[in-house]
Amino acid sequence: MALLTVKNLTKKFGGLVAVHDMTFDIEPGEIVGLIGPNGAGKTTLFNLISGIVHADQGSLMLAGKSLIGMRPCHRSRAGIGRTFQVVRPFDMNVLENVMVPALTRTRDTSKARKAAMEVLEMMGLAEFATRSPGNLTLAQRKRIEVARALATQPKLLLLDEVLAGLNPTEVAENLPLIRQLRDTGVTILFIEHLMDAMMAVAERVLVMDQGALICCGTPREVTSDECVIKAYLGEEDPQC
Amino acid sequence: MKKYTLWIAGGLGALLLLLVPLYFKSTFVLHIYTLTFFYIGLTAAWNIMAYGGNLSLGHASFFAIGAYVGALLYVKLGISPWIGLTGAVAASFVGGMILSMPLIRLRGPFFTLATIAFTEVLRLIAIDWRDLTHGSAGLNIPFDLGWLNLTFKSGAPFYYIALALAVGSVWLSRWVRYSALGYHLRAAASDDQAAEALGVDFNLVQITALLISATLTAVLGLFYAFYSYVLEPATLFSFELFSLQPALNAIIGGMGTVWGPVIGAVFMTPLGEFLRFYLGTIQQGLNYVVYGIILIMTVRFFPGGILSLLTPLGVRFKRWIGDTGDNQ
Amino acid sequence: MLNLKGIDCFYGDFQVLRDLSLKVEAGQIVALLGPNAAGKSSTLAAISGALPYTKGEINFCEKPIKGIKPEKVVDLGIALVPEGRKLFQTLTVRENLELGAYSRHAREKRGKTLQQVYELFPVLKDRSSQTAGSLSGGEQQMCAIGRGLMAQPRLLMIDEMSLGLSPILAKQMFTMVQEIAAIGITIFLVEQQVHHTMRVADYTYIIEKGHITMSGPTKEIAANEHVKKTYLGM
Ligand SMILES: Nc1ncnc2c1ncn2[C@@H]1O[C@H](COP(=O)(O)OP(=O)(O)OP(=O)(O)O)[C@@H](O)[C@H]1O
Ligand SMILES: Nc1ncnc2c1ncn2[C@@H]1O[C@H](COP(=O)(O)OP(=O)(O)OP(=O)(O)O)[C@@H](O)[C@H]1O
Ligand SMILES: [Mg+2]
Ligand SMILES: [Mg+2]
Repeated sequence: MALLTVKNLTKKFGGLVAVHDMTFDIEPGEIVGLIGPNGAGKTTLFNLISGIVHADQGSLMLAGKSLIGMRPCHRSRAGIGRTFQVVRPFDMNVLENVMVPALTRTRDTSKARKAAMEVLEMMGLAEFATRSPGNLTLAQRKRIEVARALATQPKLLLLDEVLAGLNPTEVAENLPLIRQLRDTGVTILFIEHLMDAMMAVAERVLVMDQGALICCGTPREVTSDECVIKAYLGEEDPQC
Repeated sequence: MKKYTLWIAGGLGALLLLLVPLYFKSTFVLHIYTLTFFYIGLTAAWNIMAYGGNLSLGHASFFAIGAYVGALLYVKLGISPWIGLTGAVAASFVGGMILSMPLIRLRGPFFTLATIAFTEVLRLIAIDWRDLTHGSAGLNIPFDLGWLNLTFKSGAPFYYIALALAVGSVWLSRWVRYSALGYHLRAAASDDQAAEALGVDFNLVQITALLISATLTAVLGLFYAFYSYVLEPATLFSFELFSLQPALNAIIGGMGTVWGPVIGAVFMTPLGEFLRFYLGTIQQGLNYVVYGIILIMTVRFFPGGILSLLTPLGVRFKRWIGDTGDNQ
Repeated sequence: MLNLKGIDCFYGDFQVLRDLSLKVEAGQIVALLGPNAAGKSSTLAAISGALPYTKGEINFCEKPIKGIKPEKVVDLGIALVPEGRKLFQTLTVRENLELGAYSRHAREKRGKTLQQVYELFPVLKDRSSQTAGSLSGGEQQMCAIGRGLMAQPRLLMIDEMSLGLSPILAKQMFTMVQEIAAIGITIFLVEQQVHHTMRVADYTYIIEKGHITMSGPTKEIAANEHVKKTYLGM
């Protein structure tokens, strides 16, 4: 059974159709990439799945259970973890930021502190535990977002441009982490504009444009699709 | 070894507080101390809601609920206030549930307005329900000495009761701050959407905080009723005394922290009594002008409250006694 | 035009910038590259007056700008597009853009610059009365760049310009940077999309652990083996 089933999902903001009749499945253990031009509706799709924004139409299911009408906190407990593209750290230190989600899994603060510390170590943030997120670089703050989402022990992890702000070498260094996460049983749907990353880790890529799913396939298929090149990649290889 | 320094200092402080009633026979001095303890408790209780970013200006309602329920059970039915406590807690719990409806629907100033309206409605009910409350004239608690009746000859027993209540309230508010609830409240205050997305049940944590805060305030109200003997709506539902004052204390001391409310209450209560005593005779309301100035200065120059001024000193003190603070 | 000499900078006990010197010549595109947390954003903060430095001096057009408040630095003609956008989330797109033009000389030309920004990013025109907080990530980035242009600066500093932009738009932006430079605005770029940056920059500095470790015309830097390995992922 598919882990996530999205059917005819639609969301309008006034006259703007941000997500239009989207239908797709995600299988357990997959790493799926999501690309599309700016304003295509990718983040809105994440908002719909995590429940921050309510769908106008369509259905959403996690492992066969409908998510429609469920509040974000309950979706999180059901196994949906997400990061915010424009980072939103809480007004507390880095460790406490990660303890907040950890404390939704256990009420015991010392256990939560330990769990949070483990996640911070995995994300290479341990040395910043007592710092305020405001004093960190953007790339580090993005990693706090990932750490917080991981601390909810998600089944499905939605990553919204978490590699932005890293140079090509650093991006390459961070890719094994994504695969490693999948190997621990987490299914990953990630938005990224960095095509190198997309090509390297995504097993399947969904392409959105103006709210609709325009194309879906392996990274190689997608990057050679005429529509995708025209709307998103631009002519010639982005490498040079 | 240095860690003991803090314990010894704390122990000495506690001992001094316990000895106060033996030295100060003046009822006025004891009264100021007792009142300060009540305000420490009230401010700490109020502050539990502030962890979640909610500013209540209606805590007088819970204070009065506790006072009335406890006192009426005693006066009308002869039930000891110690047993009446359960009634006060239950009634304030119901009151809290009612206020939780606007709490989860309204944010910021709109919720604050709802707390004011809630108190006002209860005040009008208390004034109109003459059979029960004797209206604005109020009713007195009969003077039957005894621990069971919470009625004493001297001020000393209430001094100790109020001290215990203050310690208990601060302990409870500290416990909340460092429990799962406390972390979730702070997250909800900081960014409700992000908190929800991370599994924090915004409504649940806010309502829980409100209920803890409301019932604690009611307990304080009950003891205050027996301390002051007189139950009149004008005092118990007083906006200035029991809705605004805890908020002011907390903001001036350091809102959302454990020790800020304590510092605020210790600083503001004697000052308030002093101002009421000296300025109140010159021109009514003049004391509030001084409050206003203090508030503006606080918000302008040290928005974290007095505590934020003391924290650097505290850090230096800890360094001086060699407590590195890494033993979390 | 801009000249940093021996800058030392601290956050508390932590030294972010060590004896940092660099020059930006008028009319050029200069890039500052370096690994994560090297001190790139801090360098820009020091220039814009937001971060005090303990040693060294910064001259803009031969005049020292030490101790000048950030809002006055803008008046001198230095605009910063900060990393992570820092827009006024509850104000509309248009209000955000107009706020960029608060210095006197920029205000006079505000209407005209606004039209230019809208031409550059047509989507901002469509969204002009939407709050900045409800824009998509990439749209917010466009708005932030637009706000920097609204200041009519002589020197435009952009921190991670391509952040969150789609490949096609990122490419267009780098081309646009060349166009802006061509009309006489000097550009100081901090970037992570090293490939693109090296395509447009005239001169490149490499910063590591708060210190400039390498500098030169971009072609020379791009050919360096160390740079290829650490930054270009080759
Ligand atoms: N709350 C809102 N009100 C009005 N319009 C909105 C709102 N949220 C998003 N939009 C609009 O919906 C469109 C889709 O936004 P979304 O954030 O999903 O884009 P995106 O695909 O994530 O783009 P990017 O790659 O730039 O992050 C955008 O044009 C945005 O301006
Ligand atoms: N306000 C602050 N207080 C303390 N340390 C800070 C503060 N701001 C930044 N730092 C630290 O200074 C170092 C350099 O930060 P800076 O933001 O300049 O890096 P950067 O080169 O721009 O990195 P990035 O590529 O991630 O944007 C980092 O280690 C960061 O944690
Ligand atoms: Mg987005
Ligand atoms: Mg930076």
